[in-house]
Amino acid sequence: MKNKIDRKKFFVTASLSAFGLTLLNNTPLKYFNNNKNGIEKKITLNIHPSAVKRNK
Amino acid sequence: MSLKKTVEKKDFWKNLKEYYNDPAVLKAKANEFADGVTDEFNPDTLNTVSRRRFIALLSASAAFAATACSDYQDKGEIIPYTKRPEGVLPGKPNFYATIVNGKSVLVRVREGRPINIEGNPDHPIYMGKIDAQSPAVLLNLYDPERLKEPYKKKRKIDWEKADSEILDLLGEAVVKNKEIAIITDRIASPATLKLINNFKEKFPTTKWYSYQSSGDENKRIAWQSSYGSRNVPSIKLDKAQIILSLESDFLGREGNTIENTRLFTQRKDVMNSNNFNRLYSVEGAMSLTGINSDYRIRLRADAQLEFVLSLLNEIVLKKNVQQITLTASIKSLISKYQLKNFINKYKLDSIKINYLVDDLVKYQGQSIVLAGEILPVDVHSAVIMLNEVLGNSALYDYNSVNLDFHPMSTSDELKGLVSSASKGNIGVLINFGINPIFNMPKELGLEEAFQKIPNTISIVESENETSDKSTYTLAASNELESWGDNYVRSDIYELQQPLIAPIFNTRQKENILLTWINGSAEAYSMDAIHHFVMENFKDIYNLQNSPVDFKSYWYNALHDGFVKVIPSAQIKYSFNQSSFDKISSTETTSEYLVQLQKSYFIGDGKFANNGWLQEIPHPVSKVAWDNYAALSPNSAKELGVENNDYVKVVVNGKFLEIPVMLQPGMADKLLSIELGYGRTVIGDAGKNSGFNAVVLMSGTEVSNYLLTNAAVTKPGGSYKLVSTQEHHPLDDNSVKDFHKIRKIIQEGTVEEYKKNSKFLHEDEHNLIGITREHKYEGVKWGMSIDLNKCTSCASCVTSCNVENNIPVVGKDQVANGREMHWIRIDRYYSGTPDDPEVSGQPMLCQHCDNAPCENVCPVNATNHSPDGLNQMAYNRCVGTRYCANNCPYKVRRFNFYNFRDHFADAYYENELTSLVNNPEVTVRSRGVMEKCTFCVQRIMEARETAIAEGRELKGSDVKTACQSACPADAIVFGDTNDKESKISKYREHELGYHVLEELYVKPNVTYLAKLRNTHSEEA
Repeated sequence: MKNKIDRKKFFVTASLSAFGLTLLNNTPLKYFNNNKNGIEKKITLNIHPSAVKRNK
Repeated sequence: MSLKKTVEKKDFWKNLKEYYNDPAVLKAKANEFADGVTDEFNPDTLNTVSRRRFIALLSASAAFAATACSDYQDKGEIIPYTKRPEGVLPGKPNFYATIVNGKSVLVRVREGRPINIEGNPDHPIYMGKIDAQSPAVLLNLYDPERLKEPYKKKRKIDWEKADSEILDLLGEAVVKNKEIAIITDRIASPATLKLINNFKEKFPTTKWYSYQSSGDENKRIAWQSSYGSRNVPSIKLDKAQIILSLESDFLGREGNTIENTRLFTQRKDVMNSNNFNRLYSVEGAMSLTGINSDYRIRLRADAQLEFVLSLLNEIVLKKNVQQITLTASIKSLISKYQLKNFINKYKLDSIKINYLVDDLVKYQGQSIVLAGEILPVDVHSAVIMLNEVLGNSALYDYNSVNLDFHPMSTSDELKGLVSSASKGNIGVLINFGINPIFNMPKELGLEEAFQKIPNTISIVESENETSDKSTYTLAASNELESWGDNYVRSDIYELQQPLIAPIFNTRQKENILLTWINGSAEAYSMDAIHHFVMENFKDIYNLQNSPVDFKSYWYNALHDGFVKVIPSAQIKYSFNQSSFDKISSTETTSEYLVQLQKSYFIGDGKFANNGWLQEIPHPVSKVAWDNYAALSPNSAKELGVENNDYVKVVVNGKFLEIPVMLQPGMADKLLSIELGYGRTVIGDAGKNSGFNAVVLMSGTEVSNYLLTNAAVTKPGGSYKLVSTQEHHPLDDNSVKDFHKIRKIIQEGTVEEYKKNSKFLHEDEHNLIGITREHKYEGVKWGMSIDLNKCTSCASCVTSCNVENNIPVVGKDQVANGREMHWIRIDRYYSGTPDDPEVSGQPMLCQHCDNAPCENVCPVNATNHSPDGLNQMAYNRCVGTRYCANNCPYKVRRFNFYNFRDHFADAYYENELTSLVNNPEVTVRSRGVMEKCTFCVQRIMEARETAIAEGRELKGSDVKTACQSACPADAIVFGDTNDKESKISKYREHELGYHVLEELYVKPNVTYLAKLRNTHSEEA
């Protein structure tokens, strides 16, 4: 019996689903993620401009 | 007969239709292909997706699926500097001098992140050494649960809004004549002092309270009374021939322990054994100082005053020693205390006491008597008198005085604070960086009073019990992000500079005050405090008559971390004997005494959330992650308790249930409990850690750490305390003195050594190996550890942890013996449970020449380098653990888990805490064996430097982390092939030995046997 869905439709559907899942992972699900340490932003460290360095 | 068989032609059929010759069958046979199979082929009707396109779509789908399903995190990009910040060379560290934990330090910074803290090598007090607590402060900077922004009633608030509201509140309080209470710790910073005074001027209804848990307030009060000054001179411990410590843990937790250890151990040099000092320790609880003493006498703290008065009687009236002339009233007072009666009353060892008296008399002016900070004022006054009588004030260094800027608030003043709050007279309370609700005695009622204060402000780095109850919680910057100064000693002024800009939206607490003083929320500038400290520094500059201009002087001071100061006027000390008249001895009771002590590592609870510090084993009991009630074996037997059993301690209606740890050497009927544990508002790392003993403290005497008339009972139940060293009965014959029998610890006495310097190796015999000896060319690394100098302070353990990215494993894993410390301090007892002799020994990988671990690795992950190191290739290791099995020293540590992930629900597995890692050392994962590498990263760094400079690598070019940190200089590391080097001299020393030498594994760590300076040849 011939498949009702052809290969083209199948893979287009699969790709779009995967793409959708990626987006879902990144936005709403991340909000519910247990980020208990509360570090949401990327951490950047800057040397203090007034610090005076020395040799050991 | 023919072999040819005639086969009858048979008809074969496959189905019934064929059997019956169905025409359909005949038709099917005629055609090769069935109907429909060979229809006309039309390529246009074929699917347009070609195989190529199909594969392409399949790959793309798989990629999408992988992206969607995995927890892919963008780890950022690695890009080279196109515009490199000035002074930053990728791969090379920078060093900055600053102040951390009240000490002048040098911080190693890699690409903008601090990764290590060591002592300031140029500082005359620290000389490059550090204690066990300070390096671990780095973890506080990278604590994921530190406050990141300000809050008002648990909701985030902008700084400008918070400042604005608080300014209104402060103004309102002044207008309505309501008190503004500000509570601080002891202030040692002249800039902060000036700031608080300016604040008081700006807001005239301000009252300043200061509280310090476990400080030296009693000593300072005694000094004020005896000399008219709260500034206490430092002691020239290196000049002391005899040191008598009365409950004074000067090596472990009192005063400047780094300097004390350095000076004390200078007189424990085996190269000059005639110059050994002698330490007498008279204490009830076993302390770090006690375990390092030559003679130890058990005596409860409440009997110390009587002891000192008895000593005075013996020395002044019997031995007729009087470097100062005592008044008749004093002589009359001390005449009531007879030493002989005292010895009988407390069943002391009369031989030891007689030795003590004879030594004090013999070495007048060359000895010192030290009183512990927990002892009452009277004992300090009596000790001051004893030192004066013996002429020991010659050891006071008047050029380097411990300054005191302000007294701590008395019990009455703190009660006044609580009373004002209860009556609604306080408009605003500012908690300046401490935790008074946790640290102050509960009996004072501060927590209840807090509810009655309409506006409370806590300026803290992390949430604590006080900030939890406060209206405003303002996120304070870490020390490494702050400006400041320190003027602890009269001859040295120290400076603190920020190494990094604040990581989060935090502000330095002094800068917050400055904004309020300036009167406007918009007046805040990150640099304001910088200018304030700099302006304040001008007072010091003006005193120095320096030929350079101020700016140069300032930058030079920041570079060095301190300046030497010529004080404007030397403090005059004039001894006032009348202070002694106020002394009245109290009778000791037969009831239990509870002694509250400062914690060795977590302070007053400030570092309770610091995993590194929680995991360092207690120097005496080796318990980690909890506090306990230390109890003598005799008293435990009376109570019917064993290790881990709960006891209920009741003092004046207040009670605490706490597990017990049997401690050999404790005085009977004494419970010793450390403060700082049992915090409730704390990060996940320090949760459920220990028991809060502050509940027992008296609200009427806040500086009283000796709680008499305690009732101790056994309520039942137990609590598992974890210890890194087993606790077994001392009289168990299977283990009694095994460390001496197996010669793991070898000791002697000074007298024995003087008589026969070769006593240690008299009964040795030659060892024969079965393998060919290997000759090491070039540098061969070795280490020596002088057990005379090692005090078991664990500075080496912390610095190794910080340098080598040692993970925190947590209490449950420590219980399984899985702590990951590459260096540990083993503690052995010998003698009797009442009066044990304690021996400490740092144990680390011995880098054996005939390493038993190397032969058994199935994948050759551990092998030997040409310069004598036992190496570890982490990515070869498959985790059979055979090497650890074979190691006789048990120094190999296995990563049973990825501990960063495993500990406290991945508490340290986050972007912030990962910044603490030293990039020069691999971060090990699960399933991999690790151990001490002799800081191979430092060896490589030194080697690269030597190559760049075109010279040979020398042993003295490398200092391991443990060696750098050790305040006693007990660890020496270097090239054993260089016969002129210090390490070679120690290796060849008569007192040098190797642990388990008979195994012929040829360890490269030499231990120098401890010599106890007793009066006889026997210990």
